[in-house]
Amino acid sequence: MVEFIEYVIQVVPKFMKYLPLTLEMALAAFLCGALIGLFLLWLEIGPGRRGGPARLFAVGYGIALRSVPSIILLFLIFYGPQSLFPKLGWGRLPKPVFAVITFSLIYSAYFAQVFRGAYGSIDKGQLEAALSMGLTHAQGILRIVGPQAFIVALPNLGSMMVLIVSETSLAYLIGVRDLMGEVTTLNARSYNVKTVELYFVVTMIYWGANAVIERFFGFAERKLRQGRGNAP
Amino acid sequence: MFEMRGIKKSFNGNRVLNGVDVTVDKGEVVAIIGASGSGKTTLLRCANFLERADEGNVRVGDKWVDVKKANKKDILDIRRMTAFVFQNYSLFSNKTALGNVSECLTTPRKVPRDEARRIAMEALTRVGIADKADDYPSELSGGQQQRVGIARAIAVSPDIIFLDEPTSALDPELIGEILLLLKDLALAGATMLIVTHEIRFAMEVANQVLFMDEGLVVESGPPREIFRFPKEERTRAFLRRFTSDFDYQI
Repeated sequence: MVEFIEYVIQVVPKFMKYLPLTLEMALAAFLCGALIGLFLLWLEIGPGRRGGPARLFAVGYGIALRSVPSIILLFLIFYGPQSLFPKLGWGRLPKPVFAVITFSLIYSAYFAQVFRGAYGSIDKGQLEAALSMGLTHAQGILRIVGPQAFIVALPNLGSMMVLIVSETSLAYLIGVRDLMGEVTTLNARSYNVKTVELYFVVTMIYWGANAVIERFFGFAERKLRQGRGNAP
Repeated sequence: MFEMRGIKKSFNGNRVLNGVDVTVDKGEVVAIIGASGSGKTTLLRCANFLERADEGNVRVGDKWVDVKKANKKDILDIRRMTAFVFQNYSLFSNKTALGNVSECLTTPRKVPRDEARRIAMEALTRVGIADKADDYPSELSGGQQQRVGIARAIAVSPDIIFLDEPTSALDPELIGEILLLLKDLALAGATMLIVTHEIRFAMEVANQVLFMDEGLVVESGPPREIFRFPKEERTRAFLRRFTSDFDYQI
């Protein structure tokens, strides 16, 4: 047991320097995913859309992306263009980029759902009031409905960020040297005798990082909700 | 001057408005009364295109709009010349009382921020809640929220204010003070088209009363005529419900 703890304490600093890459990939995928998600939502329920091809595309995209295992999409995105169009130089991009693209695409479909739920929870009288006072539809969404919906969406956005941080651990499968990449390398190098210790350490680091993220989103929600009292 | 001509509106084949005409002269208050489902609220919502009528014309000031041909710009113009007070207040819940009023000046009407704040503060003072300027709607009582709603409407100096049952969601003891406020506005020359169930208010404040039933204006005229000597049987039947309040025995 003492040996276990000693070993853990010894390797933690080694791993910590890979945490930034994990968080950077997650943050990039979070932001891109959220942007694409907003765009999908706009395609789906933007003004004057009933049925139409835009809506069909958004819905189809959502279903397709949510029903593909991340690991498969990651491989498709990493190997696909390289082998189909070798001249493009797709393979020369830094490897984390492929992970970011994969998770942005997959989670944009979830973001769209989170945003749709939040948007739907805002009383439609809010937009009507904005329109009746002469704001355009876009202004009403941007200045009145959007900010309210954003606060409603915050807890779910927090969960999404945590989920994406955990998901980035798959990136080691295309050779990204992030937290997970490092732990697998070290594990192999130590002939699998320290497997439990190593995965324990990396678990602790993911926990720690995600705990901070959860706290941050909770804090942001309380701060933004202050006084405004939109029903949760 | 405000006019609606030949307004027709159906929802899923269900005729709600059957060719309604309304005229409100500058400085005039017109009250619309009628039972639930008679189309009063829909008419008001068609006036500023929250609901799009199927047929008819809307005129605000010098601008005539054929509802069938109205484009985004026409609708925006009409909305920027008018204001709407909602039954459930519909204050922007992410803005303070002051923010609610100034938002209507800065974003759609491009009034500079400081100027907008000054005008908004004036409007809040006029409706008697300047001391609540920095409160969010959730911190205000119903009566206070509706005051902000009215401040929002007067701050933009509209050609006409549409009011959709502005006191229906209020506690009885608050109704009086809001009606008094509206009366003051009327006396100060505001042009208003108001859907209301407050017969006494209509009697005292309105220049003209329209009685609606089944999507039509059945009878219209000065309040004294409509309330004292209604010509149509449907009007009489409707009014009987108000005068008979004290008839029943227990």
